[in-house]
Amino acid sequence: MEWSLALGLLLGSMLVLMMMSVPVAFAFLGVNILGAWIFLGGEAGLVQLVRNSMVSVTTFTLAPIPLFLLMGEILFHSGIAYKSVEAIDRLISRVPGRLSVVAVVGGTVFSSLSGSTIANTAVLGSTLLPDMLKRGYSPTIAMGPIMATGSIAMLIPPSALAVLLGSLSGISIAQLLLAGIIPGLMMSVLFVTYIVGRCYFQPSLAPAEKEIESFTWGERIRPCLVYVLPLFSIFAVVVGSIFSGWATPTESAALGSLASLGAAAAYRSLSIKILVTALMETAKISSMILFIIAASMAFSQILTFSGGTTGLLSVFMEYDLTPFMLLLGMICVLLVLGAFMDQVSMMLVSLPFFIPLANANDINTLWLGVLMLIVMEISFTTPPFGLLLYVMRGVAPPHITMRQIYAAALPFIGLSTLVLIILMAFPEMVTWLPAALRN
Amino acid sequence: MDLRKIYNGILTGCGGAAAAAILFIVLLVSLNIFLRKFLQISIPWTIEVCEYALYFATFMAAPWVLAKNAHIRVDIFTSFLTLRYRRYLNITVDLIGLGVSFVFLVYGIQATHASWASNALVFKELIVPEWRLLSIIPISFFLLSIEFAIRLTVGLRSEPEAS
Repeated sequence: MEWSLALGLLLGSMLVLMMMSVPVAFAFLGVNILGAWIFLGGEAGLVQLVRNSMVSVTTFTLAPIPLFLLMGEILFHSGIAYKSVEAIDRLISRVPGRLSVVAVVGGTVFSSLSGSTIANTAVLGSTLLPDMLKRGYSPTIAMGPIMATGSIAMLIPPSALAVLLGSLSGISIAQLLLAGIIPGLMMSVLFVTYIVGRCYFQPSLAPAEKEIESFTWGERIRPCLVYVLPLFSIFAVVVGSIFSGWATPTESAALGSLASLGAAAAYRSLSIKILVTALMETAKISSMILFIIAASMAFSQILTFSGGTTGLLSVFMEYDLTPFMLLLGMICVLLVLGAFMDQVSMMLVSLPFFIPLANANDINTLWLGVLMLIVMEISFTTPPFGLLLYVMRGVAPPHITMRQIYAAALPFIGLSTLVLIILMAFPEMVTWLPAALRN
Repeated sequence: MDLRKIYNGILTGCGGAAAAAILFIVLLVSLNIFLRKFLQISIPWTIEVCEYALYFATFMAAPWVLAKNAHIRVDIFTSFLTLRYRRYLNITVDLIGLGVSFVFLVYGIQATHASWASNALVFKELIVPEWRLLSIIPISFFLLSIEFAIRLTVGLRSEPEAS
């Protein structure tokens, strides 16, 4: 079968199933059955498909996904996350679009404590969104920052996806985790600037609060010292254990979970009930994600076996391109893939081609890795299939439509793309921090 | 005790087993780090057992996640449909889910049986009969098939306006 026909058949049937609202994992599994029957040899292919599904999640490098999720869930269910958001809420005042700014700052802080974009979005969505909407914030300026900042969790360590990218590509995981810090902070600053500017010129988007509680500086700062600053010990445990050589990046996720439990216990906010709830929620979200990974890894294998992946990439690569144009091509391929694939599938499909190409053309793989993380961060909120759009759907009030959620995400997709362009133009912004700390 | 209660209990048990597997990973990996750091000994099968726990958690929790309606789905296009057409679509989706789960159940049983018959072993730090690992897939897809069948029955019995 021609590669273009194979690609059309596999991607086309997957898109149709997804648009019919077949659960994403089952859409992948359904297309896998079709693909295995055609390309892997009928019944033998289906037996192989079952074996591949088992092998795809029997991988230690995927362990940080539930473990970083658990960190977020413990902080979420023990109420510590809410207290830290409230502390930041008290610290920030008299700023246009104040609660949206709180969402960005709180989200950035929480990103360094949780490796889960979903937990981030869920915490900020459930704490701040109802209040924002009640105060008359437009859904655009209320939901956009929450989703955008939620996805920063995959750039700022600890990041489950950065660990996975490093382990799949051979890029140093420790350096990749460090290299994500500056782009993550850049995004936060850009988001805050955009929110303040937009709400200043268009005050109807975020009505000014009529009753402003007046606090002394001590009353403002104390909650931050009590509920935010000590939490950075969790960040220190995860990052410190990696750099001290105590633990591998994958293992550090377990220590991070243990540190979160320790923090919850120290705040006297941990009970058996909270632990069970956090574990059950982690199991639910992890299974949801890992089940998609199991299905989408087999999909990637079938796509490769059918010649579709090679064919698509060869079209891009057959032109005599400069390293920068090649990089641009890779980013474009990822942006297209990101519109309909999850982040792990994107990595699995592209890395076998991108890393050899980057090495052959003297493209810094650390730089490429961070740019890939940003594209994946963008794809978290890219309509129609961005995962965080659906997490937001889950936590938003019923009257909020999917179209409003899409509209809220768009300006922040633009800002993230701007950061992507800046980092493409100035690679030193990515490579400086890991190099400085190494020296 | 009626069947529905037993079935719900099994699903919740699956979710609980997955949660326990995740806690087990946290404790085992942390213990291994501390033993390695302070006593210079390590548990050699840590990574391998964690990998199995991860696989176990993923597939055992899947039917429970489906029963909680938590599997991610793209509902943007279907939200424009009228109740009547949405009901037809839901029935079709459940039928597809049932078909997919049934195929994986059948070929999962085949793969497990073939592995058992050939006495295939997984050699890593531990030596594990492969069929024991593979059997989790047919168990998971058996429960997924039941869940989709229940949804299909409920969908077919429902009034178009009430769906």
